[in-house]
Amino acid sequence: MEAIEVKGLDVAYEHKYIIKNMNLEIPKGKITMIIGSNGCGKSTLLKSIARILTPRKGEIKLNGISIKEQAPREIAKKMAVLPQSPIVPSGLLVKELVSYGRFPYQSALGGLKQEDIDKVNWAMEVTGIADFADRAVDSLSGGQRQRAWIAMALAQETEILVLDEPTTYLDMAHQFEILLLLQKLNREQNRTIVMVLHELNNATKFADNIVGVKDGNVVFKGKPLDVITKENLYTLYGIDAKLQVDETNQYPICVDFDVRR
Amino acid sequence: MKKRVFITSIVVSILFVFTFLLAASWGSYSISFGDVIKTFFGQGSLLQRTTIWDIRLPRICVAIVVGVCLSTAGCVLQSVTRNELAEPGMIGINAGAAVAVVLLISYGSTSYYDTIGDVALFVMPIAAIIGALLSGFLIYFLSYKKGVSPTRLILTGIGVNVGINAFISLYQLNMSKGDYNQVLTWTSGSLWGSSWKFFWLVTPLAVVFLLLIMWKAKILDVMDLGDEIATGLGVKVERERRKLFFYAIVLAALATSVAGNIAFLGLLGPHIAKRLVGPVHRRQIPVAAGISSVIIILADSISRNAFSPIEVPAGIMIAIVGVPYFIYLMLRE
Repeated sequence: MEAIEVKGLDVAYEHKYIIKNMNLEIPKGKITMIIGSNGCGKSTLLKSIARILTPRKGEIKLNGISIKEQAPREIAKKMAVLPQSPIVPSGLLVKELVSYGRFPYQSALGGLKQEDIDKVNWAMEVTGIADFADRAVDSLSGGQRQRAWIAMALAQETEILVLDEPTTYLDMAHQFEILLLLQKLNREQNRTIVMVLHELNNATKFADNIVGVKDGNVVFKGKPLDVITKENLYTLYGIDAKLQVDETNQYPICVDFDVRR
Repeated sequence: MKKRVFITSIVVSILFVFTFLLAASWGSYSISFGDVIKTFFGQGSLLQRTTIWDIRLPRICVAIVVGVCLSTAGCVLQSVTRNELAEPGMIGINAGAAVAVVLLISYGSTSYYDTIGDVALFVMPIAAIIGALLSGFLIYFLSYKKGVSPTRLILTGIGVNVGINAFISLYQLNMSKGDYNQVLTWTSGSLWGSSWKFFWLVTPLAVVFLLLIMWKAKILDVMDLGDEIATGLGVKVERERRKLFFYAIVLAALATSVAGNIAFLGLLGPHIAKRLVGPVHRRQIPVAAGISSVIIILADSISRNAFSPIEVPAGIMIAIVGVPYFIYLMLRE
């Protein structure tokens, strides 16, 4: 079964259609990266999956059931969403932020139960921010802050993680660190991870499955080695790319490119 | 953090008890703290009993309800609009109440509180509540465009606020001096007409809506993280925002109906509380309520006594303290 299934999806802002009749399957237990140029509709797709935008037409299924037929809280127990650069209320502590991830499991007035506390501690441990638990989130560096957000999503205890450009504003080393963390979560706990990513070489290196989106449509999808080709990259970005395969023969690397005029 | 919350609660409680006693003892007829406490336990002279039970205590109790309502409304509005500077006075809710009262005064009778009966006594608060609710609905309706974005909500509110205030000024210019003074006292925020009747008029509803908001405290917490995260965590953001906005309007309307337009209180309490115990609402709301009560009781005591026999509206006293703090906040951000 697919983790997420998109069928005949139309999404529009006012009268402008961003996504038109899109079909896409996102496999369970794999890392899927969505790539494409600015304004191609990849973030819109992610927002529709995350229920932030309501599609005009079509269906989005989560584990085979339409998201319209599931209660918001039930979906929140299956899928965690991390938008691009989310807001941090000033003075909020890391452990408090992470504990907000337990929201779907809590009653209105009840506090954190032992199980919640265990999950929160575990999430901070895995993401390596346990030492900052009592610090304010807005006092952390970009990389630490991003890990705090991921910890919150992890505390939500979902099998699916949806992230919109989780590495923006981070330097190379910190980007790598975040992707490595997500890979570890995927490999060790079999979580399905879907993300939009801009850096092509990071995408090819960490993705099991790459989806290329252009003008609101899927133009290619599959394993990086199969789909990251000269032709596909030209279709997607309009670039002439020079590609190589890495030393272990597992993923393609774009070593140089030129914009075709 | 736990220790900090504990210490803050203790300090705020002590301050609260102290200002409470101060307000009960300080006045044109001074009563010592000891006598105040004695009077509470049924002793004390007839004069002391009358002064405290019939004059000062109802005023203090109304002040507390007003403080708690405005502070909680401020906490909610700041989260719902995700704007640090949101408060009922700034986004036109108080102005809505004011315009209703202005219309009532300019078209109604010229009789004042003590010469009129119960029905007429309640007309003004009820008109204020209706006015505040109407302007609240107007703001929500005007900012609605396939859902309400926090920014649009606050900008519309500020616009409506300016519009209504212009309308009020227009009316005030054509008023007789007596009416004008009454309106001015009212729009500046004053507790001068407070009695037990007012207390019983607003308290039951205030308690209901305060409980509803505490019930939604966790939703307020996650709404602080933005619509996208809140949606991802399973909150029906649009619907919750509408509900919470409505609750905040009702609380602001109740407070305004008995105390007029007290500015800044909805800003001061929540911000000080946030600095002290952080932005988690189940801590912030009660601490903010305590701090706001202390501020309003203190401001009212000073405004009653400092320039005696003239009484300065408590709202002006609060603004005198509030403006420097407001600027300090701006400088810090």
